[in-house]
Amino acid sequence: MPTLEGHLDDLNSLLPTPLSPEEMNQALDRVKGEWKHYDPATRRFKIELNDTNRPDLWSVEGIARQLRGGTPLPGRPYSFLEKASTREAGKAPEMTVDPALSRVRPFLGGFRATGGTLGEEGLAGLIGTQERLSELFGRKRADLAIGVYPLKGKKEIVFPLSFRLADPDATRFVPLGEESPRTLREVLATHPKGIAYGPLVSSHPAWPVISDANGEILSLPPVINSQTSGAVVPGDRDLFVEATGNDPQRILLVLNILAANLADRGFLVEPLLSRGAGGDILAPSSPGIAVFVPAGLPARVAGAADDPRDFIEVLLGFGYPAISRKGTAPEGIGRSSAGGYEVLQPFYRDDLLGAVDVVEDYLVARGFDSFAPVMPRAFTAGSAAPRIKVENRIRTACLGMGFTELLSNILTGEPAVTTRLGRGGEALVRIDNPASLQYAVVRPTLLSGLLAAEARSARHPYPHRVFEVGEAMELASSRSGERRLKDLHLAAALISHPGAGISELQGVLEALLARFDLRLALEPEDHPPYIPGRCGVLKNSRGEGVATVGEIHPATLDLWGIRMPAAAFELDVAALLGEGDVLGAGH
Amino acid sequence: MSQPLHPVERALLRPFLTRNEPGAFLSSDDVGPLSGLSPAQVQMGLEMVKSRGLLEERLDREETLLRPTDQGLQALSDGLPEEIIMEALAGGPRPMSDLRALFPDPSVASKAMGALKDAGSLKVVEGGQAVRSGDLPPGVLLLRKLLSMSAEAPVLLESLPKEEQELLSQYQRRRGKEKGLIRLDVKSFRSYRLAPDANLSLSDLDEGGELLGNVTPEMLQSRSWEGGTFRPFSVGAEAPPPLQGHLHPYREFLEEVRSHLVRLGFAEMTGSLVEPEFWNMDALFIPQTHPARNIHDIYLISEPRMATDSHEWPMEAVARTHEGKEPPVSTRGWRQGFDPEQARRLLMRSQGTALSSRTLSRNPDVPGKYFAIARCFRHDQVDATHAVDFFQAEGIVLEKDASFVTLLGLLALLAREIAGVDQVHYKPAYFPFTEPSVELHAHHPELGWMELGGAGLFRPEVTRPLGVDVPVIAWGMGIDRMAMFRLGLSDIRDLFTGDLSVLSGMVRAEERSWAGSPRPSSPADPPR
Repeated sequence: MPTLEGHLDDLNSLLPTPLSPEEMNQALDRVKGEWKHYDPATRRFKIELNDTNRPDLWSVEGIARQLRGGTPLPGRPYSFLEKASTREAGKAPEMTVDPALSRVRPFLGGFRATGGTLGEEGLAGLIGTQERLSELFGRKRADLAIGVYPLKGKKEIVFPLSFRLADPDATRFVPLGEESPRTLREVLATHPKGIAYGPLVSSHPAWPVISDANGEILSLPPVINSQTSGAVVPGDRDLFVEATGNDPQRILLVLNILAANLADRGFLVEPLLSRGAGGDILAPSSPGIAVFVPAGLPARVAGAADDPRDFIEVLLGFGYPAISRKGTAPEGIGRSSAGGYEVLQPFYRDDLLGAVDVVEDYLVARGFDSFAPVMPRAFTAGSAAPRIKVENRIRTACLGMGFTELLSNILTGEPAVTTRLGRGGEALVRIDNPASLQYAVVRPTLLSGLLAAEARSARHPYPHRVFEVGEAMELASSRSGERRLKDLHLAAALISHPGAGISELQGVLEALLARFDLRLALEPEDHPPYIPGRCGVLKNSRGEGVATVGEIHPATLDLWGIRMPAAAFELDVAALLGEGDVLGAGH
Repeated sequence: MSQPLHPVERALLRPFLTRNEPGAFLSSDDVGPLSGLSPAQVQMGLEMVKSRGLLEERLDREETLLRPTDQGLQALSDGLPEEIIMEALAGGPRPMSDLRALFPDPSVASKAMGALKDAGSLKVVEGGQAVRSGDLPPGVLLLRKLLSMSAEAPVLLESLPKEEQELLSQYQRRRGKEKGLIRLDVKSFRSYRLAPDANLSLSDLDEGGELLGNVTPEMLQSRSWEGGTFRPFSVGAEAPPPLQGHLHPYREFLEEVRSHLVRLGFAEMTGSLVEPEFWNMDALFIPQTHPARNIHDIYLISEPRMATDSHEWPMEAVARTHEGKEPPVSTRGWRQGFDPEQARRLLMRSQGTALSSRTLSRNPDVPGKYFAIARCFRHDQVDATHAVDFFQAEGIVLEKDASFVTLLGLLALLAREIAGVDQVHYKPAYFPFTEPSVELHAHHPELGWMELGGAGLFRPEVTRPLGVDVPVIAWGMGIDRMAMFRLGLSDIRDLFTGDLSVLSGMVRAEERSWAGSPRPSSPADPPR
C-alpha cells in the first residue's frame, strides 16, 4: 500500500479552508487514507493510502483535490482539457514513436507545463509521486515509467521529439548524476538505476531512447534521464513530462494525474500529441469514459426503497464532472431498458469498472456514519464442520486422559520431518519459493511438532503428555504413477517421563478409538522414528495403516536433544473414519 | 494438650516413659530400635515433640569424616600437582614456563610451585630455571596417604595424630565445599530425655485411644471407626498440584469464535491448505498483475505445480470478466489478458476467502450464511507480529435484501458477539473483491481503537461468474490480535509455541481473563 509523506501546511495550502490534524484525520476517510504518523513539531505527516486502484490519490495534490470535491483551485483551471478537445486535427504531432519499438516499449505520451514554480517541497513531492506511480502503478517501471525534464535546462529541448531504438554500444549520453558520456551498455552496467531497471530492456538488441529535434538524447526509458537535458532543479519554471510503457490507457491516466497536480501548483499545462504504430496519445485529455448506473441500484446497495434523492448532487460534489438521467440507457456498459444515470468518470481517475463503484463513491461522499445499520433478519441454521466435530471429540478424550494440547505451524523445515525422524522426503510437499529454510515444506506429520515441543520443555515438570490434532499434507501416487496432493487430517500424542513406554500409549490409543466405537488390533511393523520391535501399526478393514504407535528411538531423541524416554502415536483420522469427503476437494 | 499426639509422637515418647531411669538421656541412635520407628520417622517425631517442649536435647560429641572430593580422586590417579612438578624435575632443572605448561590451569602450577618453594623442596636458579632442592614436603605425603585411605572408607579425623590433623588443616576445605581434594563432613551425636516440666505419663499416650487416620475399606467393613477419633489434618498446608491436561488456549479461543458464529446461524466451510490461484485470487476478481500475487507475497508449491481439475471451474466466465470482453456482468474488467495457466498454479491458501469463492460456485443456500476459521499463509518475514501461518475468521452472507446497511448491522453484531465491543466505527476501505468496502474499527476498553476486520459486498464481477445472483456480504476478522490480548502475549509466534512453560503462562492468562469477563446470567432472571 502506498505511503505518502508531506507537510500539513503544504496540504492545507491546496484546500479552501485549512484543517487541523484531527480534522484531517477524519477527512482522510474520504480518500481511504489513514494518518500513520504526525509530528506536531515539524508538522510533517505520513498517510497510508488503502485504495490501490486510485493512483490519483497518491500525492498531496491528489488528496487535496478529492477533499475539495474534484474542483480546480481558484485561478488554476484544468484548461488543458479544453485545449486537448479543441486541438486542430491536422496539427503535426510533437512526438513520434518508432514502429520498431512495438516489441520493446510501444507507447510514449507527454505534455509541457510552464510558468510555475516547484520549490523544494514541490519538487520533492513531484519526484515522490513519480516514484510511487512508476513503482506501484507501473509495477516497478515494467508497465509504465515517468520522466520529468526542464524545458530550458543546460540545453533547451527542441520539439518534435522521437522515441526510437538505439545501438547500445554506439549511442552515448551523460546519465543523471554523472559527468561524462557513457554508452547505453555502460549505463546499464554501472549506474545504480541501470543495474536496477536495466533488465527491463537489456534482453533486446537495441534499446529505447528519447531524443529531441537536434538529436540530443533526453533519456533511456525506463532507466535514467540524461544529465544534460533531464536534471530538474527547484527553480525550474518550465517542464516536460513524459510516460512510456505498454498500455496507452495507463499512460494517459498518469499523465492526466500529473497534469492536474502541476496545474494545482500553478503551472499552465499544454497537451502534446504522440504518434506511433499502436495509435495516437494526446495527453492530458479526458478519455470521456462513462459508466451507466441502472436506476434502482443505488437504492438496492444502500438498502433503501428508492434511489436517494441527493444521488446526483452528492456525486457532483465528489468530483464527478457530469451525471445525466437517462430514460433508456445508451449503448455501452450496463445497458438496461429501465433507465438510470450516465456518470462521466473524472479525467484523473480510471477505477470505475462498473455501476457499484459509483454507488460506493456516493456512500463514501455521504459518510458511512450517516447510514443507520440494519440488523440481519433472515434465519439460517448454523453448524460446525464435521471435521471439527471429530477433532473436538479427540481433543476432549485426550484432555480426559491428562494430555495437554499443542498447536504448531504447518510449514516447517525439511530436516525436522525427514532426517530427524529417520524418514525420507519422497512424499513431501515442498514450497517453491520459501522465505526461509525453516518453513520450506508442508508438514506430513504432527510428530515433529510434538518432538520439537518436548525438546524445548526439559525444564517443565515431568511427566509430559502432549497431543495435537490438525491438518497436514503429503504427495500420494495414483495408480498411473502421477503424484497428487493429499490433505491429511491427523492426531498425534506423545508421552515423556522416566518410564514412558509403548504399553501406556497403546492404552491411550485404544481408549481414543473406543470413543469412535472402534477396536482395531495392533500388528507389529517397524516404522521410524520408533524402536524396531517396539512399535506397531493399526490397520483398517481395507488393510490400510491408519495409525502407528511406538517408543521413540534413542537416536531420534538424541537428534532432538531430548534426554528423557518418550513414546508416541500418530493417527490418520481421515483414513480411520473414512471422512475423505469432508476434507474438501482434491486437486 | 493443645493437639492430640500423632502416632509417631506416641511411639517416640513411649521408650522415655517405660525405661527404668526416666531422667536419663537416650541417644538418637537408640530411639529408633526402642520405638520401632524408621530413621526418617525418628527425625520427624523428634522435631514434633521438641516443638511441644516435651524433650530436652544434649549435644554429646561431633565426628569429622574425611572423604575425597572428585578432584581428590582425580589427583589420586593422576598425581598431586606437587608430585607432578617434582617428578618433572627429577631429570634436572627446567624452565618455569615448561612446568606451567604441564597443567591446563596455570594458577594450579603457580600455587603448587609456591608451596614447594616454601617447604624448601624447590628453588629457582638463574635464568628462571626451577631445580629440586629437597624431597616432597611431609604435607603432600600425608595428603596422598589420607586420599588413598579415605578412598577406601571414610576416615575419622579425630582418630589421626595431632600433627597430622594440623598439617591437614592447610589442605582441607570446609564441610560441604566441593573445591579442594578432601571434604570434611561433621556428624553430630545428640541425646534426649524427658523435659522436667513435661508432666507426661504413659496414660497420656493412650488418651482418647488410638487416633484414626484415613478411612479404609476395612475400617468401614469392621465398623472400627465407631467411637474413635480421627486424627486432625493440617488443612492449611500446601497440597501437591494435580497432574492436569489443558486444551490449547488459542484453540479454545477459536472454538469460542466458532461457537459464536454457529450460534449466529453460520455454517462452517473447510477446504484444502493448497488452492489454485483461481479460487484464491481469480474468482475473487483480483487482477492477475496485482502485487499480492507476486512471489514475494505467496507460497507456491513445487510439485505438482498445476491443479488438474480446472475443467470443473467456471474459468471462461471468470476470464471474460477479468478481460472485460463479453463479460457475464456489466463491467469494464481489468482490460488485460487473462492467463488460464496462472489460474491453475497451486499455492498455500493465502486468504480464507478462497473457501468463500468455492462455496459461491457450489450452488449455496439463499438465504445462507457461511464461515471459515482457516489456516492461511503469507510470505512475510517471521517476527513478533508475523507468523508463517495464522488463522483467519471470515464469512459470507447471501440474502436477497443484503445491502450496505445490513452489512453495517452484521458488523456491529459480530463486533458485539465475538469481540465483545459495542462502540464501532466504519471506515471506507478498498479490497479488489468488494464494493462498497468497509473497515470495521472497534473501541476496546484497554487497547483503544483498533481495526477488527474488513468487509464489503462482493462485486458482481465475483458473484455472477460463479452463478450467484443475490447480493453477498463478505467479512473477515483478525482474530490473532484478539487472541494475543486475551492470552497476554506480545509475540504472535507464541500462539504456536512448543514450550510447555509458555503454554502454562497462556493458560494462566486465560484464567485471569475469566475474572474480567461478564458472568453468565440466566435469561429467566426476573427484571429488576
